[in-house]
Amino acid sequence: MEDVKDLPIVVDRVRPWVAGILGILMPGAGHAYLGKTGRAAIYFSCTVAMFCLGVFYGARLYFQVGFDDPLAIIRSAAQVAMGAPYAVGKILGIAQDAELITRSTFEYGTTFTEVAGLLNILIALDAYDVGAGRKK
Amino acid sequence: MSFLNSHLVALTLFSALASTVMGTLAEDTFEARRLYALKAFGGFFLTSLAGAWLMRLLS
Repeated sequence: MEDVKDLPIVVDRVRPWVAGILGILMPGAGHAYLGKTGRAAIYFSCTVAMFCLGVFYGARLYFQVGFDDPLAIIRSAAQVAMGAPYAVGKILGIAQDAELITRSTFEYGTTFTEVAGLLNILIALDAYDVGAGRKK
Repeated sequence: MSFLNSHLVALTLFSALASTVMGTLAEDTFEARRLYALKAFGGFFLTSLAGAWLMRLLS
């Protein structure tokens, strides 16, 4: 029988801050990194579906610079918190048209995209907590 | 895809997606998550309907 001291030492290489950063860059990526693939799939599909629905409803993806409209900074930050889907939209020029504001569902779309980003912040914080062992 | 422009469909989709994420975040077991998500969905849906009718009556 093997002695305990001869057993290999298994070091858990999971780093909570990596999970948190991955989570904010791509919804669900933090949980996927931690091996929670089921939860990662739920988070990814729900937040990306919400973001895409927002774009469908006429949301405008904007990036507020300057303090002339402080509330717009918060709303912009909520959209940016979506991570990769927001970046892809900006790079491809999707939902950039200023005339989107005239659509009757513009506010719906903006709300969908902002809430998706805010949920992604909670998901990234949850990934950090799971990685740190504070949650299952 | 025109059905998506319905206010009720938008409310249903928003409530379903947000409550699914919130239920998964808040609880640890499948049953508890499902119950939390159903409660959150009902809360979103019913309070929005009640608010909409209230605004209609007050306008």
